[in-house]
Amino acid sequence: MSAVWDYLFGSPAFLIFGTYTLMMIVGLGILLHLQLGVTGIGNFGVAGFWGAGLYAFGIMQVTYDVGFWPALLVATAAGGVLGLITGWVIADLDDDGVLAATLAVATIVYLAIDSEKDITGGRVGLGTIDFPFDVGDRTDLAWLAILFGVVGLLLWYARRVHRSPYGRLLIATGTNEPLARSLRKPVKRTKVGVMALTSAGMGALGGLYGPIVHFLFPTQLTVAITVSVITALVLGGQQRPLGAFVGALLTVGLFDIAIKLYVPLPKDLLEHAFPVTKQIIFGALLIFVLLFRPLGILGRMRRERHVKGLSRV
Amino acid sequence: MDFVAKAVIIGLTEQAPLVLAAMGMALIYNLSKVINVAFAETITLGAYFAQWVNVAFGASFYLSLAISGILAGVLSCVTYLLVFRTAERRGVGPVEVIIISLGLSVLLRYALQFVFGYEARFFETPPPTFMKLFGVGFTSFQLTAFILVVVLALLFYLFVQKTVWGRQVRALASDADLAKVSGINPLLTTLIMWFLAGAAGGLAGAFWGVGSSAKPGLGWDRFLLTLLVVLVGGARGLRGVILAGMGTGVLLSALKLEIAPLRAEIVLLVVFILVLKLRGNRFRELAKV
Amino acid sequence: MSEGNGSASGGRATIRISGLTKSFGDQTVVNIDELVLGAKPVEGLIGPNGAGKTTLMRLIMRSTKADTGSVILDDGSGEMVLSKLAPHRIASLGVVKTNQVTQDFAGLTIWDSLLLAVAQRHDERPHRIYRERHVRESHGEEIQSYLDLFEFSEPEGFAHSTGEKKLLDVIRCLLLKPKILLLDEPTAGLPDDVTAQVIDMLRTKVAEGMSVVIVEHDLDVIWGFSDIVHFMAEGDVILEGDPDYIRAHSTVVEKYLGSGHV
Repeated sequence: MSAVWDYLFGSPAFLIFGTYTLMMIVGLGILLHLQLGVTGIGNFGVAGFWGAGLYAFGIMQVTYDVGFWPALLVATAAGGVLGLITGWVIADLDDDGVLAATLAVATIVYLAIDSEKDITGGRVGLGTIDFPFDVGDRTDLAWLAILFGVVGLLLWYARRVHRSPYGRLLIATGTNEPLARSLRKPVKRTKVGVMALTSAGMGALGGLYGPIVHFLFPTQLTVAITVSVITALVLGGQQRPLGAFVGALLTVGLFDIAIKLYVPLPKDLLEHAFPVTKQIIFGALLIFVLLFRPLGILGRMRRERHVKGLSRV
Repeated sequence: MDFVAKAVIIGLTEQAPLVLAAMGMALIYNLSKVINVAFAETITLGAYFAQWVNVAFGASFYLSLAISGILAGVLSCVTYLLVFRTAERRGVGPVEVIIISLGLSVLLRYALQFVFGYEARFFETPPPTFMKLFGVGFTSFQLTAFILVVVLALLFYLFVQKTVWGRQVRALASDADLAKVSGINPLLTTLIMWFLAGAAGGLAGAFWGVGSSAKPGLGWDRFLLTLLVVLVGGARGLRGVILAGMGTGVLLSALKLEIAPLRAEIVLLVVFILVLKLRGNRFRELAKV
Repeated sequence: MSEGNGSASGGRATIRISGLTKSFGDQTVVNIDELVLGAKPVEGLIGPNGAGKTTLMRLIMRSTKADTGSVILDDGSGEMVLSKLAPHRIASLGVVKTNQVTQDFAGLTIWDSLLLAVAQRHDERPHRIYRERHVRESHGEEIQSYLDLFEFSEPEGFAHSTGEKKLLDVIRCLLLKPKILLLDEPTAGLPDDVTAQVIDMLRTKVAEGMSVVIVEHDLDVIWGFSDIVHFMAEGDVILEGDPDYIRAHSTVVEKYLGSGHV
């Protein structure tokens, strides 16, 4: 029994770090679900909104020596303001324009961090960032619990949105904009609003990632993050709040936790072939799922259940 | 005057491949309304193909260039047949097609590392000749790229505007059903477009590659700028794309003469975003109320 | 917003159109000097294909933007220049249009679609995540009464047929409690008995004060339902009058009805 325990939890630091990553992807995936799966906004710059929060948090803590809560607030605001601006830009663009604009925003964030070295540390890095509390050995575990709580909260909110008039407005905006407009729905403002709100969430998640890595580098915000989030959400089911969770377990959970920790791969394989294979599989998953099962594992929204449930309340 | 001349010469010679790549992407965009993110990998593989032919067979850079263009064109057709045609037939929505092409992009970018290795690969070409005009230096490769872009742009333009094939392509782009009725073979016409597009992308990649090296991120790093040029210039056809591409090159080099390169890129992106916003790019309203 | 100089139509809202033009390429589709809609409770709008009926309605709703001209709403309490407003604002002022081509929200059930129509701006804020019950309680009965009136194959699920979607479109618009309802071929694709039901329901609403402007190819509906008929050809209203007058007019017969129709 204890052998099994040792095998599973023998290297807690790695397991905890893998779970951090998993939770980040799930959290970002839930927010992307609200943008893409519900409102139909294809945000390809997730890494940028998240990264803006991460660096805003780091800059506040390291460069300006600000406390945890104000720093987290600034991180959230950074994501939110960036989302607001992006929402304003994309509100009347079609999907190609949304792709270009969201990618451009993420690229600008990356370039700005790389360029403004005095504030961000550039490629040298920015650190160190510590946990806002210290409970000895298990501080990282406590942080993980907090992260679980935050992601749980996001999931709860997303599920509530599906059951609220707001969610219905978002779905209507995403599926038939002109018709929604003709029913006096302000679709532009709705899009700007949902982008600001969800991007603020991404910024907050970025802030919470700061203490995990202690040291920030621009290379942490490459397109790989965005691809992981999109893959998890698309595989699990973009229209369902739990989609990102299911998809992330099967992608990040499988590769970054199960295989990395429990399959004894040779070191050189782990360094090169393993991450490359992982990306190839992510890419192939995106293609196959969207071609042959576009709504992923969980399938379409179950609006009729909600309607039936309502007559009972 | 000196500043303008400098900006123009640097801009046109350094960013000539950008114009070429944007022309390729725009061909597909105008025909199928598909933004193909994996076009980035067509560019990357163009560089790898050229490098491979150049080093493995000792071919001259110019011969490698030609072969690389053909290979990239074939690759582009294969991706159309395997992925985009299937998507078309299954009626996949526009955002989903973009995500599919993103998946293809990631797949190709990493798969090519199993074939060509993880490290950057260098060309074995005699060092280019350096030239000077108005006190601005550039290499013979850059000059070739520029001349080739001018020639190809002219050929593409004549092809699309003046030949039977070109007319068929335009007919297919404006009304697919009508085009089919009037006896156009849509598959063949579409394949020709994807081939030309791929070839243009591959050549652009080869030119970028010979200037530095062939590496996995080569196309992706230049994808955003190419996409923006296509979206901003594409509404006015190939001519618009060529002008937007050249304009981008000149603006970027002008900015880089004045401010730090990274900041110049940021300013350029902000300008592009504002242009997109002001112009709006709603070509299609999904439903009419 | 200026005070209206006395609403012309005894409390009914009217739409005044002046100098309204719209061209696609070099083809002029709408070219109307002066036109008042809504003065009578039910106004028919007829004309040959391509006369510009649908485009006129879209210009009023601003889902298509006019080249020149103005559209002014006088709802008895004041005048509003519709041709300067965003489409969703026009709808919230009480000018609403049904659609000629079937429109629906993929993914929204029948109930969803109707609850969407009744939900107010303040119900739809992102933090109002427990607002559903309120919306349902304050509008559920009204929605149910419409659903009782018509037969949907699966009222708690999705609209399946084109007819059901068409019906849903009309009900959605009625739930907005419009002052002026523009109907663009509301009964196309509906069986005759349902058409009669729809017209009956509209009559009730008209009696309660709503004005209707209707474009319809089923001329029996026009002759039986309208108080006044506008005849449009080549982008302009060239004749106005009560149904019998229009029906017998030689120009209408010649340009539209054909000689065998009367």
